[in-house]
Amino acid sequence: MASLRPGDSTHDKEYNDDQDAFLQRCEEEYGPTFNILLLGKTYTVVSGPLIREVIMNSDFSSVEAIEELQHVNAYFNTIRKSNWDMDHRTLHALVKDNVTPYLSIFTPRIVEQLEKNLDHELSKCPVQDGGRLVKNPLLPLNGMVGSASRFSWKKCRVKGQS
Amino acid sequence: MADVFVGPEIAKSRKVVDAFIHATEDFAKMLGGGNIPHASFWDSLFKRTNYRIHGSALHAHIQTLLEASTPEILERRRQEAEAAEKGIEYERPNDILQRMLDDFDKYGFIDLEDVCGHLLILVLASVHTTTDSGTALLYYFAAFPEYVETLYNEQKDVLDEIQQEREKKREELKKKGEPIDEELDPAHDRDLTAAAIKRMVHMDSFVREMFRFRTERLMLMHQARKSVTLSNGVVIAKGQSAICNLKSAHQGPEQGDEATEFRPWRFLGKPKTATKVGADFLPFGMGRYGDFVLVECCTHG
Repeated sequence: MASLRPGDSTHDKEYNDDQDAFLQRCEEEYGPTFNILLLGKTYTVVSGPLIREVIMNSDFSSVEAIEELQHVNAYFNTIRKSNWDMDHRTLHALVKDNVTPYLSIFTPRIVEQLEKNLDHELSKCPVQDGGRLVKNPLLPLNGMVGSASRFSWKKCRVKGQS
Repeated sequence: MADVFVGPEIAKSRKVVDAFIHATEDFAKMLGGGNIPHASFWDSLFKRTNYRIHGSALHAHIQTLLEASTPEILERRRQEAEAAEKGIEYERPNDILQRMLDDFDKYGFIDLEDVCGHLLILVLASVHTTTDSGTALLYYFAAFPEYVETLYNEQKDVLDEIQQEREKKREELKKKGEPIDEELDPAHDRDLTAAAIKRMVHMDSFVREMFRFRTERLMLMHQARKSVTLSNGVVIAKGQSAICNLKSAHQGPEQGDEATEFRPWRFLGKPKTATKVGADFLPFGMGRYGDFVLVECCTHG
């Protein structure tokens, strides 16, 4: 287990204060693998070429690790009746079969919708004309991306404080 | 995206579009809304049990999608049957819902509600990751305004170039006396197509550098399903989790000079596009089944 800073009972604070400095310290002290206490549990940190050994190995599961923290699979299972496997094989196949091969067709359609929504909300606002400030773009962007061509995202604008 | 997922007819429904947007917001809230997660056995047990018994906020969105899509699907079936009766080929709608229905058995779906559930998960994944990446990109434009003009001019130049190429093709067809098909309609000369985006090498390098630079240093946790011994002799016991040190991947010598700095043209002239994951670029993992399905939605979204 990597040593703790005086006064700390986990590595969360040291990591969040300066991720790079924390990892550099640990790598210098312990090498490419070391244990840390983070997010309420113990993790073995793997570095460099060892990363591939973990993420390409079917004896490891990222979904099960995420499930411990965020329960994404359990959440998804509330709206699907089949394909409850922990590796999301069917979701993976759905993307591979139905999204990836058709990107060249989908891209202009998505761009067209984004442009319509962007024009609708911001109009043309070149910088020399004063531009326009969007303080929190996350929610308006969410509306733009998720919407169809006829959608007006005024509602999102209020929530996004733009 | 609603149009791409369910087709223009269903996407006309304001309720469906709202369902997609609100479902994505609900998903973001479930992920913690920006708060750092914390593993807790009892909290986890409570949440999972709660989902099983009471379901989630997504249920209402599924019902909306189901109500809006049922008449359209019945209409599609009617048109298909009519085309078959007349002996003409049915022009299949070009959307993801139709493809999922066509391969209903292959994917092992139970009913239309199940199809809608899977579709909504794809929507959540693609909208959430696209929005997240798009927002990050906007912040990088704001943080590094000195690069925006180059990106803007590149986009303009690429579209000019494509417009000229298309004009040339039309002229050649005219000279030969051949008809100009819809594909070469001048109205689409300046469309931002996937082919146009591929030519924007500065933008691609900027996006890849943004992902390299912004990525959390410790990510991609993986739980061992059985005890695994790594090549350096370290044993990760069954149930124990490994977490990847992406500082070692994203700031290694293979990244070139000043790996700790944001250098947007770092990948210019290199065979490393923003969607090409590898040992030195892991913002989304490497795409094995176990890696989260968002990978592809994000890179292409």
